[in-house]
Amino acid sequence: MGVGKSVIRVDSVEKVTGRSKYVEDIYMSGMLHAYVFRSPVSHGVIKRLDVEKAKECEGIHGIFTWKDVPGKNIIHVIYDDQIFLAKDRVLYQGQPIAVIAAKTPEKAREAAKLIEIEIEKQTPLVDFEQSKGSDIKIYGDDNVFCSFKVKRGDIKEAIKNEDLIKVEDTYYTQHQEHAYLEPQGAIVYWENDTLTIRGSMQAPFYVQQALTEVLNMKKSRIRVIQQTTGGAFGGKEDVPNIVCAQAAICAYHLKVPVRMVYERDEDMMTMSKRHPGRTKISLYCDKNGFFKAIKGEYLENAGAFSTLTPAVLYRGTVHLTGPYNIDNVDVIGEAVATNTVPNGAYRGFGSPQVIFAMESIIDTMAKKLNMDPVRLREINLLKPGEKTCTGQIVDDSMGMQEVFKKCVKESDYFKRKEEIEKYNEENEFYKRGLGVSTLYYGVGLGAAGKHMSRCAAVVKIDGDGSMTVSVGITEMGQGLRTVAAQMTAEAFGVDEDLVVVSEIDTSRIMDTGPTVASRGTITAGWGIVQATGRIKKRIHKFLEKKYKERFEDVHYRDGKVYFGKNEMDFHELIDLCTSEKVRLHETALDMPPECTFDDNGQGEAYFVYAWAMNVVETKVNLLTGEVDIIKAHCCHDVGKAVNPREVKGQIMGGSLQGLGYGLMENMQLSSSGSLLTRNFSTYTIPTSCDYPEFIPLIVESEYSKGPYGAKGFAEQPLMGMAPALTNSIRDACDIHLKNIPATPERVYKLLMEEK
Amino acid sequence: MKIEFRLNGKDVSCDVPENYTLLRMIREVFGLTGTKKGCDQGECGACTVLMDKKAVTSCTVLAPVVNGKDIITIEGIEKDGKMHIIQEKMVEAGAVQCGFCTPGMVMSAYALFIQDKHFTREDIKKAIAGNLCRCTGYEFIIDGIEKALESRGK
Ligand code: FES
Ligand code: FES
Repeated sequence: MGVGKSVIRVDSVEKVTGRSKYVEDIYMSGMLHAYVFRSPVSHGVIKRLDVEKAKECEGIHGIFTWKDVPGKNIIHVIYDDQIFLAKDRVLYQGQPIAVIAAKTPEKAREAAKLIEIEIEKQTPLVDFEQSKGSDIKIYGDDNVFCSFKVKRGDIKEAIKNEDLIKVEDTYYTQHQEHAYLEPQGAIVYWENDTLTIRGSMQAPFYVQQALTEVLNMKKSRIRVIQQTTGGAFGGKEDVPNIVCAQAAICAYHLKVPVRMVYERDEDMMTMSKRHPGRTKISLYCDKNGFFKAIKGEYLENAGAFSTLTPAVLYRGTVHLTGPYNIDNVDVIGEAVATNTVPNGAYRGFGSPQVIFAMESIIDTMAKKLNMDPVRLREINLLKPGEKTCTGQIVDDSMGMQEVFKKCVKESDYFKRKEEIEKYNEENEFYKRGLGVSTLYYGVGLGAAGKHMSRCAAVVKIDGDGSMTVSVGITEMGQGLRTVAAQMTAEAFGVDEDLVVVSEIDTSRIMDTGPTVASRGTITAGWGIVQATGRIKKRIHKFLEKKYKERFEDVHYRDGKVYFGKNEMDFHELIDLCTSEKVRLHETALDMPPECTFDDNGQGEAYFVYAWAMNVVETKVNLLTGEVDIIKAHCCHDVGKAVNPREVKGQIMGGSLQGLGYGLMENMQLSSSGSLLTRNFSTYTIPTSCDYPEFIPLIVESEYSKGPYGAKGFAEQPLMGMAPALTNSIRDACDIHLKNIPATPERVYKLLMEEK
Repeated sequence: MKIEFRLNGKDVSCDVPENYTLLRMIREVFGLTGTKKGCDQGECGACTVLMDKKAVTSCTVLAPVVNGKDIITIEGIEKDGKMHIIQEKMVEAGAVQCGFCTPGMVMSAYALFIQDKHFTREDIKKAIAGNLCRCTGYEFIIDGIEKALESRGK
């Protein structure tokens, strides 16, 4: 019971028995199915659109185009460039043009075939390296959505020093598909004259805002409830704005329930992905291996619309230089448009791309210096009191050093290195290797998203001592409801059984921003600590009045309450408070610590950081290029592990997504921008036969301002796995992968070149 | 067409279009929504049920094939309102995150459980290789299944 214990997840029984209701499990009487008619081409001008014939089909209740949008024909995210239903031009294959509402999904699909459309094809811009300044215009004058820079020290002066050793390279990373097991979906219906949306999502308040604009309705008339959500990983941050708007426009006009659940291929083809990236780094160090200067250029392929790109690019730019002490920094990040599906949030949010580059180039430097990669990292890692690339002093909850020590020790790195060397001498066709990565993660939205950064909770205790908690943070599988229950239970020294964490509903709780950026635990936690604290204060005062005595402390433990010389059962106390009308209901709203970021990219970019190190062992088959991942030690400083078992679950699940990214997940696009990998047989993700022996390691350097010392970390497990993997391949057989994934073809090709 | 089969221990019959899949039939005709649809193409395993004691992806079985068969879904393995030991052990092991793969995982494990054989950890891995899970990294799922299988004393 309480914080720090591996209690059973509150939602696991419901899920393991199949009783949880996901969107597709809801059936309403008279419910219609929505289906989207999409652009067949990647770039073109719509000359004619006629839905009349399709409308006449049996079972079709309505077909809606841009003409039927009552408000703005825009899906709001950050910039307002994303068109809801295409009017005159289309910018990627799969861009929505019309929404069909029908009795069955089959009928909708048949009707879609009868929609008449003429599109004048235009040359698509697919190669993002050609985007900036291209004659093909997608966004503004130059196709650049946004840029950021981080400048620290004096790079020009620093690199004049001719004794410095320099390494330089360019790295490429591909799209990554979230592959949440539950596809996108929503059901929309009218209730109490309010348009009610139940959807699979991370950010109900985004959806509410987007629909307010599309439908030109008051916010209070749009009620968004998060339905049980089958995985998200960033893929259900802003994208549900689109999905919900599609179902909502049908329900708005037809006044009947409309459900919309994407098929897998439709989902893969049209929903957001991780941005492909190109990262160029020049790293300079002195002859002892101390990093002296770094130049970085990060280019992101945003796709056809900006969606969350500005925020994604911010995080990528700030994280490029890693958790190292480097005085002279010059990093620029830029995101450009292409005629491909818009990319968005995905666990790590723009950082896995640059971490792959940085962690790879450090190994190049180690080679050049003839130093072990772990030693090179060790001497450059940030220590408490030192500054990040944005000039931010890191001293609170700064667990980097401890993470490093623990991971090196537990992985027995140096001893295994020797064993592997021996193995490699004895084996001709198989080579083993050890690779590492060290990284950090700015928790929360940071300076780029500070306008959305709030935390809130509503706590209510009923007369029987049971409690209901509402927070603005969603449960998408990461365990938020359990953690929220634990923190509430901890406050009153009772069992989690007494706590129900209610579903998130925009009509019940205030907007506390999206559930992203590993901010769930800390954001919900702050609200809960504050709300429960206020209730406790009120009870304290009441007890003093009642007993006519001052109590130093009212202490809650194991279902009992202690004050002065008195002891009372928790239930008895609540019963007493209720009968004497003590208010046991509290709403807390608070602001997290301030973040800043000036024109040179200097400031408190995030209020706190998480720290990590990975050690990955692989075995490479020199004859085929196949790579086996054998073991992975993944060590994370999480502040406080509110539920250690769930923390381990996050570490292993996230790490496997990272290994998939590095090893096999290979999204393919045709030269005209058409997405070719549209299902799980062509876009393969790791199965139970692909995962290595995981050793998840937890470090707890408590965050002084965090709830019970917690911070956040759930994206971090993914972020450094790709370079740890490719570094271990490099250690095994001396090939330098500058592109991922490390498919057998790619590895084999490099092996041949090496010969 | 009319189909008769056994569903979770009871004889049932229904009239469905021939192109319905078993998945669609159990969800839409019988209202058993515990079986999930993750891909509808036989690639994710979320829709796994037992057909004549073998694990199958119900999205790739057409309704006519089901005639005369014995089908068990996630709703059919609890007894007297008590979870099956596989479910209990998976919950304890922390095998559930978003839960969308979970019913399918449980059914793949159940197909092992009812066999009178010993299974190693490697066997378990192979048995659930067709059940994708994007959340957990599999380790805790396999821990849970292993514990449940051990409880049979084999
Ligand atoms: S839904 Fe049947 S295998 Fe995916
Ligand atoms: S728990 Fe989410 S897919 Fe397995």
